[in-house]
Amino acid sequence: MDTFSGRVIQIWQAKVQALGGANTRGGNVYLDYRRARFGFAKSLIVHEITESILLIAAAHKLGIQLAYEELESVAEKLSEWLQAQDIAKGNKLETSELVSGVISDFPRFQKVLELRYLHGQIEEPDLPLRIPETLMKSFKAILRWHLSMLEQPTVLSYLEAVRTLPRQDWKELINQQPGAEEVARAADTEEMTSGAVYFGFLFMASAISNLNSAIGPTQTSEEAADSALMLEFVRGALDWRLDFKTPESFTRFEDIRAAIVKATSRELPYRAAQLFEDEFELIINGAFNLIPA
Amino acid sequence: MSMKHVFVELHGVSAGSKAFLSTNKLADTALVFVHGFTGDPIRTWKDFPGIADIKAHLLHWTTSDLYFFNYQDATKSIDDSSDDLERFLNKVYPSPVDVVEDSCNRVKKQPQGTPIRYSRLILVGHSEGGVVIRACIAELGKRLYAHSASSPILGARVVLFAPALFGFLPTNWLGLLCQIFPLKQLIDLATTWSIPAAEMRDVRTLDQVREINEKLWCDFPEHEAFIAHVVFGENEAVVRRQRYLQDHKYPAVKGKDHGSVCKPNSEYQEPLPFVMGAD
Repeated sequence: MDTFSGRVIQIWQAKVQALGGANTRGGNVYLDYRRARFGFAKSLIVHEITESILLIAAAHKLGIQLAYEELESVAEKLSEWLQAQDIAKGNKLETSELVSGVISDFPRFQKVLELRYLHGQIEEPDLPLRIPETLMKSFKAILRWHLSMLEQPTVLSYLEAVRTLPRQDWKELINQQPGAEEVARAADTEEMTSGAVYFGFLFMASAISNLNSAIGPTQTSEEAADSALMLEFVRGALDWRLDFKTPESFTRFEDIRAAIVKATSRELPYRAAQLFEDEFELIINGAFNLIPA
Repeated sequence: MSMKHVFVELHGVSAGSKAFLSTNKLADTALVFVHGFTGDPIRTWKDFPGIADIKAHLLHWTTSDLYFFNYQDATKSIDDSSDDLERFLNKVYPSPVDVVEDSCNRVKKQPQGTPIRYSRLILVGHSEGGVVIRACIAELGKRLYAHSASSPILGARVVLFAPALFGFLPTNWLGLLCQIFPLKQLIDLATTWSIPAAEMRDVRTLDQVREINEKLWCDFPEHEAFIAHVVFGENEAVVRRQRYLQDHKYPAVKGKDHGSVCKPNSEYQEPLPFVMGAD
């Protein structure tokens, strides 16, 4: 089996296993009692795997050789778990909020996800490329960056902290301003610490920046059209990571960004600090696709 | 415990380098150990040689010759050390040069001139040694674009303990941001205003080595040496705990730090199968 498929299968299995119960450690997915009780971490895990499924479907369209059958057999386990979350109402089964929430967070793929998660039918998402072979190399890079986010548990901690942590817990977390070394040491940490949340934020920004620039310049108008379609597909699969959902989430994102700018600026003379702030804003806005105010 | 390996100095091959050669005439694997910054060719690995001769591990290790490469890590650049490593590897693998072959034959008690030929190479690096190995592999790999014959070294298994692939832990925020976003504008700011230029030169070098390795892996995935098996101790506090995209990730080793993760002892024998690939 190719290395990429093997690693994706390993991390999917760990994540699907983690969905199965509270207070369990599954691979590098950690669900503590509170996280599992509210189901927030579970929802984020389902989003992560859904993103994977969609990107792997695109890889198939491009003709990239992966272990598709084996990958699909693990994806089926996720569908089974999701269907088991449906709620019995009289004679009918009502779709759980978790499933409907996931589907609505991927509007570009609503139809294929409804078929997959509600009816157990597999249909490939639409991606009408004219010369797919020219995008194979770029897309392999996109798959690797995607995998790096799946394998980095601090990314999940960052997303969870920004979106779902109770307000009081968030305040405690953000008030523990970590030092640069502490943030660097938080890499691969499964627990949600202040350093892990900052590291997850920076790691995700870096991965998405690289993802955005993976599709390079094109030679012909046909290639340009294909690149645009591919980019639209990839953003459709990843945009849930950048959707803050509520004003509070966006404020939390801004809190982290501001704290990093403040801590870094303190290390620099005034003029250099100004230059840094402009530069860092460009980096983060570019990664998160934000339009400067 | 039975003695199955013998220590040999390799002064004629590379100053300060040593070998721990198997007495087994069927030895077919060369393991090359590359220490880290201010490390020592032997002490970095502590009981690695001794444990290899414990009965439980003999199955794999009796057919392996261990080489401990020495380089001037404190005074030479990564580029220079990588060139030195390449020269050393070419003297050992796949067919050792005469002076090494003579030592092998002496230890194996077979007639001088008996050809020695290895079929497997394992490169083991610690800390900066990991970077030296990857820089060497990148240099050898680049020649594939010139359509020259592929070096047998590119078929090596690469095993890295706490490698400094992304540099040492940063001392300040700008250093951290430069490591995560190695962009020219940020590095220029850091070099001008905040961080010693030498530190930032490392960021650039490390990023180049990473970029070349990742590109080579995409373009020539058939060569095993572009993918490393990387492990850190859970108490790592010297280097950034990160791998290249294509590398295999292993769980952090409980209770081990930067220095101890690569030092097996009677209670910590996991590094032995990890190095050999029985993982």
